Amino acid sequence: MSTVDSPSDRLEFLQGTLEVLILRSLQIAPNHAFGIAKFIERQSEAEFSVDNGTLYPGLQRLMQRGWITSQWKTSPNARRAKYYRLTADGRKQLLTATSRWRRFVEAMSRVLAPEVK
Amino acid sequence: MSLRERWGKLRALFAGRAGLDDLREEIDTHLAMEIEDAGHTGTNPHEIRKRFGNRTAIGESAYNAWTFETVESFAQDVHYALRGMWRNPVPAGTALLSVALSIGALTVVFTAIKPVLIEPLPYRHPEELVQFRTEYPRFPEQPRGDWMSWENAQEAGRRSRTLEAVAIYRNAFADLASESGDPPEALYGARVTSNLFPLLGVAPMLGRNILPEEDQPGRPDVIVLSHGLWVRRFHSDPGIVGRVLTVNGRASTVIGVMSAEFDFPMRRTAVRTPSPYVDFWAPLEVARGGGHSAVARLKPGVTMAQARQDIGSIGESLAAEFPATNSDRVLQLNFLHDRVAGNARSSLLLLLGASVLFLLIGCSNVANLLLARGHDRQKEIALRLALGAGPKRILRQMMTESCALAVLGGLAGYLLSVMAWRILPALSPAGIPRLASARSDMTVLFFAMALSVLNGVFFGIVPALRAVRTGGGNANGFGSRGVAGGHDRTRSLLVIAEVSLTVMLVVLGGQLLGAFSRLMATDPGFDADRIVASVILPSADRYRDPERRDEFYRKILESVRNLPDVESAGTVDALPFSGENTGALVSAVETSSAREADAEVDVTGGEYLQTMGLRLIEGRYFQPEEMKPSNESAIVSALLASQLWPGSSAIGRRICLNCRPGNAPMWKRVVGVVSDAKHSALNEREKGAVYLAAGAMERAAFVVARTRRSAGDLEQAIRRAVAATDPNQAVFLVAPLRSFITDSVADRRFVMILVFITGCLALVMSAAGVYAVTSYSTSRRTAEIGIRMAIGATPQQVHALIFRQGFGSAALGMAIGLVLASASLRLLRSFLPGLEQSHAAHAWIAAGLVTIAAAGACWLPARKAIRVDPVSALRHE
Repeated sequence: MSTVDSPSDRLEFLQGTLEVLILRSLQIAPNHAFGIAKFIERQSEAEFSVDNGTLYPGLQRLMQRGWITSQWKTSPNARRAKYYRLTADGRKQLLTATSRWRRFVEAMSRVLAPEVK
Repeated sequence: MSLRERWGKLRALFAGRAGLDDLREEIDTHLAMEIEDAGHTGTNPHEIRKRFGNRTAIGESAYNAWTFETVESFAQDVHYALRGMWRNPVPAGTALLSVALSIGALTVVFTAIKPVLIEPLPYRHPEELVQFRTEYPRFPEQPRGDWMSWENAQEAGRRSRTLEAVAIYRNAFADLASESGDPPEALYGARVTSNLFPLLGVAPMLGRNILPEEDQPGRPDVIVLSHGLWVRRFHSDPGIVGRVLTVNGRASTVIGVMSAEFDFPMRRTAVRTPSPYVDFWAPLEVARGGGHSAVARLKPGVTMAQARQDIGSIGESLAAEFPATNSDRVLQLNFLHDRVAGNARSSLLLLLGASVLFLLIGCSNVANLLLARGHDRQKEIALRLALGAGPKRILRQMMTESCALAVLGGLAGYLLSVMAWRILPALSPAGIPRLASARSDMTVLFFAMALSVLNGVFFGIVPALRAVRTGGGNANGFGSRGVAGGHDRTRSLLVIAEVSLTVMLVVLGGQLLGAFSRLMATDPGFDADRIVASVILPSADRYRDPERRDEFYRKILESVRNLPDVESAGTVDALPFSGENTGALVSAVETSSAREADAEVDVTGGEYLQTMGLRLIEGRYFQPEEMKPSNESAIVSALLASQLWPGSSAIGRRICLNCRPGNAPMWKRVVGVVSDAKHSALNEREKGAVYLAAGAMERAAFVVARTRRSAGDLEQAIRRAVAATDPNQAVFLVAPLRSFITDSVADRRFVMILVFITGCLALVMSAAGVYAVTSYSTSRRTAEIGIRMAIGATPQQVHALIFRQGFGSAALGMAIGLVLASASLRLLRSFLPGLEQSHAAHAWIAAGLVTIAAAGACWLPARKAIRVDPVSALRHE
C-alpha cells in the first residue's frame, strides 16, 4: 500500500494495516478481490491504491486466521468470481481493530492539536 | 495459533497445486474484470495489464503467504532486525561487539576445556581406568606425580579382587644412533609392561603389541614407535615394522607404530624433554623400586569406592609385611581421567568462571542498549498494536531481533575464538595434557550458537516485555519523554550489575597478576640468567660400566669447562626445575635429641655449587678428589643446618640419610654450608638440601656451565664438545636455566594471561556500556537540560547533575563489586595456589582503574550535555 500523490515519500509498510481495510470492505457484503481493491480506493478518495502483490497474500493471511472465507459465485454481470465474506471471528476482529485505531487517532490528534491545554 | 488456523494450514498443505490453480483462475478473472471496467473509461488494456503486475508472481506470493506464514514472518522479522541495525550503526555495533567479545571469550575457554576436561580419554571404556598413587601421611608435602613402586604395583595386581589388571610404566630416555645421515637423536618415551596396551584397549596402527614374553629379561630388544617419530624420523615408511634400529647402542627391532591419536602417559612427568610427546614405548623388564607409575582397569560392576577400599587394605597389609619400604606410605586410587588434567583442572575452572562473568557483563551491556532502542521504538510499536498486531506477534519480533543480534554476534565470537586458537596452541603450556590439540570444531560452533540464542533470549526478554507493556498501556507512545524516565531504574540496575561484575573480574585479574609477578620475582637461590644447562644421559648400554661412565662425564665436563667464555662448569644428578628430584630423610644422630628433616639430596660434580652461585656460608666447597665413589663428605644448605643444629656450627657433624630399620645406613660428614635454593618450584615449601660428591661422575645427568656471553651462543659449542667426545652420544637438550624456571610456571602464566585479558576487555566493555547508557539518558533529557539552562542553571550545575546521576550507580556497583571480589577471593584461595597472600594494593589499583573508566564514561556525556543550546533543545521535541 502506498499513498498515491507522493510515491517518493512512501510510508513505511506497517503490518496489519491492509488487513483491517480488507475486513472493513467486507463488512457490508461479500466481495471479490477486484471489488475489495475498488472499495478501498473509492473510500479513501484515491489516497490509497492497492497493489495486487500485497492484496492477495493479505487475503490468504486473513483466510488462514479464519477471519474470512471464500466461495466461487456468479457475479451480477454473469461472471464467475471468487467471493470473500467475513466470519464471526473476522467481524469481532474488525470491531476491536476499529476501536483501537480510533483511540490511537484520537490520541494522535490530541497530541498534534494546535492548541495546548 | 488457533485450531482452525492449524487445520487450515494443514488442509492447504494437502491441497497442493489445486490451491495455486484456484488462485490463478481468480487472478485471471480479476484482470478480466478490471479490463472490462476500464473499458467504460477508455483506458488502454495494455496499460491495465502493466499496472496489474506479474500474475504468476502475485499468485505465488499469495500461495506462499498461505502455506508458510510463520517462516515468512520470521524472515521478515530478521529482515527488520538487520535493517534496524544497519540504520543505527553505533549502538548496534556496540551491541554486536559486546556479544562477539563475550561469546568469543567463553568459546575460547570452552575450546580449551573440551579436550582437557570433557572429552573422554581415547582408550576403551575410559571410565573404568584408574591410576595408582602413593602418599606419605607423615611428610608435610606430597609428591606431585602419581608414583608407585614396582613391588607395590606387582603386589596390588596380585592381591586385588577389584582390579582386572595392573600395568606398570616409567619414563624412559633413549638415544637413537645416527643412521644414513641422520644425527643421533635423544628420545623421550616410556617403558611399559606388556599388558599396558591390551589394558588400555589399543593396538598399533602398524605391526603388533608387545608380547607377554618380551618384557622378560634376556629377550631381544623391541620398540614401538609413536606416529610423530615415525613421520619425523622415518618419513612415514610403511615397511618400518621389522627394521632393526640401534637404540642405546643395541639392536632393537621395530614391532609397531601407534596411531597419531595415541598418547600415553598424557601427563608428562619430565618437565623438559626434546619433544612434548612420548616418542616410543619399549618393554619394561622386571624392575624394582620407585619411579614407576601404575594404571589399572576396574573389574566389571566394581565401583570406585569398593576398589579404593580394596587397595587401601592391601596398602595396610603391605605396610605390615614390609615395614622397611612400606610403613611410611599409603596407596591410593583415582580415576585416570581426573589425574590426566592434574592441577590444570582448577585453573581451567577459574578461567571458565571469569569468562562467564565476562559474558554477564556483555549481556547487561546489550540489554541496556536494547532497552534504549525499545524506548525509541515505542511509537512504532504503539502504532502496530493499535492496528491490531497481537502483543505476541510484537514480542516475537522483538525476540527475533535480539536473537538475530545474538546469533550474528555469536558467529563473530566463534570466528574470534577460531582466530584465538590459531595463536593459543603455541602459548599452551605442555604441562596441560591435550590442551595444545584444542581446536574449534562443530561441537564448539554448536556451543557458541546455543549460547548465543540463550543469550539473545536472556538479554532480549526484558526489553521486549517492556516494549509490549508500555506500548499497549499508553497508546500515546509518542513524546512520552519524561523528565527522568521510569525505565532509568532498570537501566541503572543493569549498570550496577555490570560495574560490580567488572570490579570482580578486574580485582581478580589484578590479584592473579600480582601473585604471578611476586612468584616470578621469587629468588630461586641461584643465578639462573647466565647458566646454561644441558641434559646428557650417557647411553645406558654402552656405558653400563661405572668406570666408563665416570670417564665419559669427566671428558665432557673437561671439554665444556675449556670452551671459550665458560667461567665454570659442573654436573648434577637432579637439576633444579628439571622435574628430577631425590628426597631423603636426614637424621642428625650425634645430637642428644635426634633431629630429623626431609631434604633434597643431590650428587654434584665439578664446580656445580660455585657455578650455580650457591654462596659458601661456612666450611669449604668440594675438592676434586671427593668425587671418588667412596667418600663421606657432604655440604648442607643453611636451612637444613639450622633445622638440625639450631644455633651451632654444622661443620664436622655426622648425618645419616634414610636411616630406617631395614635400610643400609648412609653416613656422611658435613664439610660446608651453602646458601638455600629452590629445587622443584618457585612456590615450594622451604626445604633443606644435602649435596654429595661421591660418585658424582657416574651419576651425572646434567651439565651446567656459567657463561660470560649470552646463553644461546653456548648451545652449539656444547653440542660440538659432546660430539667430539663420543659422536654417537645424543644431547637431550641445551637450554638456559631460566627457561626451566619459566616452564615450571607455564600453566599459571597461561591462565593468568587469559584472565588478565578478560579483565581488560571487561573494563573496556563496561566503560562503553556506562558511556552508552549515560549518553543515551542524557540525550533523552535534552529538553529538560534546555529548560534548566533557560531558567538559569549554570553549565557547571548541569554538568554536576548529569555526572552525579550517572556515576552514582557506577559507584554503587563498585562497592558491591569489591564486596563480591573479596568474598570470591576467599573462596578461590582454598584451591588456587599463589593467592594466599593477596595484597590490598592490587585490589585498590584495580578498583581505581574501574573508577577512572566509569568516571570517564559519565564525564564525557555530561560535557556534551552542557554544550546544548537551550533554544534548540526545547525545539528538540
